[in-house]
Amino acid sequence: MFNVNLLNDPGKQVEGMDTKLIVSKKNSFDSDLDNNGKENSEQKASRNRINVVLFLIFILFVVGLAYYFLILL
Amino acid sequence: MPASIGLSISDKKCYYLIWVPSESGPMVIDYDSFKHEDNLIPFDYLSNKVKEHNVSPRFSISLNNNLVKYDYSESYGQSTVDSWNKNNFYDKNFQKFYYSYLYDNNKGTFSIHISKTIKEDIVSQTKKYNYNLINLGVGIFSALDGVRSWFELAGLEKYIIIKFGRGRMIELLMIHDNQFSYYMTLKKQSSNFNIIDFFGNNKDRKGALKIIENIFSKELDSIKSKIFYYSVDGNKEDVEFLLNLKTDKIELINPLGKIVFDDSCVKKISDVNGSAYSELGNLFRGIDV
Repeated sequence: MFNVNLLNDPGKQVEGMDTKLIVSKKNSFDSDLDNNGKENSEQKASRNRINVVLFLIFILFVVGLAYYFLILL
Repeated sequence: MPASIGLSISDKKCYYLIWVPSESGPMVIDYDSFKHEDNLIPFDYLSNKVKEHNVSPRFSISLNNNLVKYDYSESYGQSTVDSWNKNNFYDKNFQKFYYSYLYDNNKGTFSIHISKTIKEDIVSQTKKYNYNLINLGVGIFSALDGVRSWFELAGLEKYIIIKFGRGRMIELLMIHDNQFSYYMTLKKQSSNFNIIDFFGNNKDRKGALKIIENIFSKELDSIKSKIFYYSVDGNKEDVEFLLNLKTDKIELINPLGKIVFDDSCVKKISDVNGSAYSELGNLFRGIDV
């Protein structure tokens, strides 16, 4: 039965024809924040991985260059 | 002594009514109206009334329309699409500021939104005064509670509540199988009607307007639903037009004619002026009078 009482408890969800109430979904909001946090840490990790690979390539390049000059001498 | 106190707020006035239980049902011990220009709940006034009658009260408040927002979202028959729509409309910012009450029907969802600040202020005020607030309604939807208490509705598949308000504003609420069907606000300008808002399935829009047009053109045979109406500062000519219609399809809501009064508060009041107390209907929710 359709009836209006705006005093219903926040968070109360009644199926069917009765009142449903939307409130700020703290949990889902928090979990969204968590998701954002997760994305950031994943991005950071992949960035770190790229940095390590670049560093190794740089080391190889330096070693290769040093070896080349040693051969020339 | 336990007492129920109802307060309804309109544009310029507040209406209140106090009843106590008696052997013959709810008995009114006080009722009146007073000028009230702002939207705040006059708790001081009520507090004085509580002291005057020395009662332990439980309150029902009916808010003015301008304290809430309405909308209607049509259903597309696919839950994923419907929920996607809702999630986009009621985003986090909206939910931060409003409590939203959703009422499904088979064609969509009607919603009433109230500002969190307003609601929390009302609740905290009642706590401050140590009062028991049992119902917070709004306008014509509180009158619906009253109609259910004051009239025999068994066997009525559909019925309509019409409110005549200030500035020739007319509100129309259609109930079908005890469910919300549509809610429309319109303005009467001489013999024309302009729809201000329509909340319901768009297919019903023309039919809703036709109902009002049929009433004012006296084409009553084409009206298939029982109509209950009331006036809160409505245009006198319009209300008298309906009063003079010779039909049992259209009936004035006069709550004061339905309840018992204590000898101390019997007043002479016309049926139309008495109908202005209709939005105190949530004070009688679930009570047969």
